[in-house]
Amino acid sequence: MTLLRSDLRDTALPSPAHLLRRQIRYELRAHWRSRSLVALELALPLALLLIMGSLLRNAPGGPLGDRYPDVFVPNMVALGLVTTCFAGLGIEAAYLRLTGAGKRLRGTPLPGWVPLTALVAQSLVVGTLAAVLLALAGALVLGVALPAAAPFLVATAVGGTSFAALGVLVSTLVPRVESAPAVTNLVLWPLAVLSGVFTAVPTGSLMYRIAMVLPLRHLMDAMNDAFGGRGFEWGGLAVVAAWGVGAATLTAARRPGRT
Amino acid sequence: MDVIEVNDLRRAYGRTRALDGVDLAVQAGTAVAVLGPNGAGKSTLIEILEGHRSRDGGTVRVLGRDPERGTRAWRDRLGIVLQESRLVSELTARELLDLYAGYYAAPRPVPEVLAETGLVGRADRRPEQMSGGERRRLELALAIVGRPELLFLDEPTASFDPEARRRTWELVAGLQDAGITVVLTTHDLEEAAALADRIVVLAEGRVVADASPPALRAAAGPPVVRFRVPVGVAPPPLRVALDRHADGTLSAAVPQPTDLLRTLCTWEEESGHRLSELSVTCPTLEDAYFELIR
Repeated sequence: MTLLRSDLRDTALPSPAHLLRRQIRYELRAHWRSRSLVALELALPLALLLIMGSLLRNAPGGPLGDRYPDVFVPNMVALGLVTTCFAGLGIEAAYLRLTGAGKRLRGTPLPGWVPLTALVAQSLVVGTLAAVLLALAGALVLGVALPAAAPFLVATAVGGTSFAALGVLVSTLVPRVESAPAVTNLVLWPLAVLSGVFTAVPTGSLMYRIAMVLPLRHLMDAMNDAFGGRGFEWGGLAVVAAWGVGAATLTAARRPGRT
Repeated sequence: MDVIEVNDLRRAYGRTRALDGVDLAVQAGTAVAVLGPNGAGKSTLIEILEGHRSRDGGTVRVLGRDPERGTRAWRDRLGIVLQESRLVSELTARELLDLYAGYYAAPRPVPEVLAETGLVGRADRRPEQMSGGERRRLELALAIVGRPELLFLDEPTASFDPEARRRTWELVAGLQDAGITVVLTTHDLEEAAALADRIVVLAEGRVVADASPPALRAAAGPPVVRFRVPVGVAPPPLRVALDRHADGTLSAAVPQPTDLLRTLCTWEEESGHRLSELSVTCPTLEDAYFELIR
């Protein structure tokens, strides 16, 4: 058995870019095997989309569409993206911080920023996949037109990244591993109802005014514009991006160094 | 060459002094066990050496660097088994080892590490499908896959059954034979004696002993010879002072018990009386330890 060999020590460390790609690959592999996360991020939004969309297939859609599914499907696409990039990532980032997994990785030559960056990248991949899957399900089952590609992809990228930043921020507030799903879902579902994912919130109401300050309503509007062929909703996306930048700034300020 | 050099290390949590002027030197290729009661500062010391925790004062050099400024190349030379951590449960042991091996410049082949840690038959299981002892061995495997020069083991055999513990000791002894420096914390005095060249005892943030296991054992006092004389018979005349115990037995602490035993045997033959319950007891490492932390 060869344990210590000076000639082996001369070998260079793997590059950070290579390590990041590798870490993302393993994170994705581990993620697909986590039944609870796949159920939360893909099965639950898909089931909600199909059940509510079918039940209210012929209900009026309000100002944004003719039928309820025309509005509900873009809303659910936004929610599916947020479920993955905010709630799913928040849970995984809390696990990384609270289980000692992050500490073990910090004891290796892996650059400190790689594990969290890989988790964020993984959530963006899965979130985009969830958004595409929900859009396809809406088209195939509920007859909702597919979105215009560019506005859809821009909304997905801005929304996914910003909500990922929010997910990481919320993960720093989780006190114990066991409470990570509760904390993230406690933020997500009231936000979804308040923002009018399932049913329209009357314009001008207090709930509406609160929702207009929060990012999900604006992401839903951007998705609705993408699905309705109205192009980019830059103003709303700017609000979503501002939330993301704010969350990233706060997380950086809270980020614990050595204790 | 000293792999670890610590001088006047201090660390406080609020008003509690976890480390209060610790000095420590660990030579390359040796194994040092850090012992102490809960709250003595063991984990704080190890975490500072690993670069996971900052210090308030003093100097620390590990493999020639200040751990607070540890680089990737520096961490490439370390292996760490944490006291408490949870492994990603969705990857198998083989996948986890493959993932970790990729972090290092010159990793060991994964099959070799699996074989050495006795995990070949468990390679395709996830941590959640393993016993506590197997998970701990997997953590050890992850710590050695990078071919470390210095290995930190924080309570490496906690929750092990005796057989698993013995196997881990053999594994760690093999690593030492290969020239790896080992620093371990443990509550198990038998483990410390089996694995370590030196034992450092911490109490209330200070080093109260730093010696080899035999030297530490000797510091607890000389062996004790104990015996009982028949009722009504005067004790043998001896040059050492005898202690009389409540149960009627007599004892003497002597550095060379063979001399006393010879005298007692001679007395038996000459007097015609029989001594009973004759025993020689050496102080254990546990006796020395409790004496130190009292």
